[in-house]
Amino acid sequence: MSDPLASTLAELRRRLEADRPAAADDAEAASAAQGQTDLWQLSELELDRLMGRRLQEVHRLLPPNPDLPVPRQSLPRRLRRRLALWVQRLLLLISGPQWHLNALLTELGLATYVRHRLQEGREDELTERIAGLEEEVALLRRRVDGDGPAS
Amino acid sequence: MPSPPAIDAADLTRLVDRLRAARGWQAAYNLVQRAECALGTRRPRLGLYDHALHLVGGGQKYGCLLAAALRDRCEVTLIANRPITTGELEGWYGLDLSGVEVEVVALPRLDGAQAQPDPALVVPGEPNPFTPVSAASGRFDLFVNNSMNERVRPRANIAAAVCHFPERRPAGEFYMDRYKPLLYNSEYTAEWIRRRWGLEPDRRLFPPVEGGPPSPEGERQRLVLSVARFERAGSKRQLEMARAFVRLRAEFPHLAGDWRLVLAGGVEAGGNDYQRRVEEVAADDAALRVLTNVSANELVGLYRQASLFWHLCGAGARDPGLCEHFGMTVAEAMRYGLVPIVFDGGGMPEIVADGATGYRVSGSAGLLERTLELMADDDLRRRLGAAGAETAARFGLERFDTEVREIFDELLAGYIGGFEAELQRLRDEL
Repeated sequence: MSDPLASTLAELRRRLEADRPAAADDAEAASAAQGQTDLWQLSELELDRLMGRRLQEVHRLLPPNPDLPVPRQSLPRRLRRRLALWVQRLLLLISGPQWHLNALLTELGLATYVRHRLQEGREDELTERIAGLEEEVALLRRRVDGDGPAS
Repeated sequence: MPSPPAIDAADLTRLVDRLRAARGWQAAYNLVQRAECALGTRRPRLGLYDHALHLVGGGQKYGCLLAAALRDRCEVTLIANRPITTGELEGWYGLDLSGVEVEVVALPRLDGAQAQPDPALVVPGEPNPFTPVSAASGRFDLFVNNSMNERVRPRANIAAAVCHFPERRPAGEFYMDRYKPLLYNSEYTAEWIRRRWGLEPDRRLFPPVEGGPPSPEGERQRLVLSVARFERAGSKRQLEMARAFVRLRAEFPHLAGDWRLVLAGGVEAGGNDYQRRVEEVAADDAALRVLTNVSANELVGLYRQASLFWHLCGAGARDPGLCEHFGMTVAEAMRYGLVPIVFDGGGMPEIVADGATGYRVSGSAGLLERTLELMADDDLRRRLGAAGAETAARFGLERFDTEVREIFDELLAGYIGGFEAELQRLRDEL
């Protein structure tokens, strides 16, 4: 390799290294990060509104049996599923996998409830979500029990 | 070795600048990385990521063996999320990792109480906690995701993944479709990759299984062996096997009276309730022993003494993840000439040919029936054991090293050899 090319490569690397972004830098990642921030902020706002910033309320919403009553009727359907997601997130921040499992079970209960009672041509999507939740619950239950994947 | 391509320095600089303006910093950086390799200024850099590298495990050993096989071709770095050293890894797995580096990428948002940063605990919609790993991946020419961690977006020029089992359906950020090749450890895993991820995996790479050669017939004892961890939830089914053995000896003393069963396996410090329940069953029968956390040498001794191997993991499980995805201990036992009787599920059909190298059964009843057959027929045991040892040789370390080098040599050849064509493509597009 010629010396000019070697020094050009070294110079290009030096310039790029000096200018290395601290985090996600390209257009795609920046866009994804922006979307996540928006969702995060929205979640915080909605959670605050729905929960009245009271952790006790969160706990009250997490019965061990997903069929036990939760205040579904008081919420618009669109928000019921969001609520479950935010509850999961909150619990991840404040506690361990047992709470996360409970949150998943709650979301599973809500999703099942919605599928059974609402016929809006979105049953497939809900069925898929329920199947995914069941798998996540099974996986997490094993983790909670201290049982990792086989093999 | 092909001669370096003739490249004009001004042309390269112009392309890097244009690429950066059009597609961002990483794209420009990746072009410089590739140019350095193609022009021979340095060796390719390979980063292999495993979020559980700090824990002892079969998947982690697989990754370390892959790194060891490639260290003469690349500058290899193992990327972990918790502190670990190459010295510890060498000690655990009996490997030579000289020349291999370790980089610990901290994940501040997942440094909780869990033993490992767990992608299963990431809620869709929240910021991706694995972004630091994604950023680290961009400093390598080749990035290998050995975690099945679908939430890591690869940024290197070449991104390969090893899937030991797809544990979750795609949810939220899912990047497994950006890895090529997607390697897998068994056809069972491949089938679940298709079903759960909707992706077509590229190439099977069986885990390396050491062991053998089979002991001479005279050294073998009337011993049935099982080797599996004592999981708290009992997924390896040692309790069922212990009860089956007690029943076998009680109901068929003329055949099973002088046989023993050893259930060997790892367990956490202090043990667990499941292991204690198995020990309670063993306490009532002197022919049944539970051995926990035996050394590698002791284990080899057991393999060399035993005649039959039991493995019921997956029996009765509804979750496909609870079946053996491959079954390393079964293949290992076969290399020592033991005849396996295993649950007919997961990766077992790829290892045990029913009736030819062992037996596959659906539960305890089949286990007892096949065991009695083998206890009664010395010639059958000899024949199946020899056939099993022969077929299990295909899982050896030499084969693994050869396949790994084939796969990555091809990737590197395209990476380096295709550089000029890539430049031309960029000139046309930018």
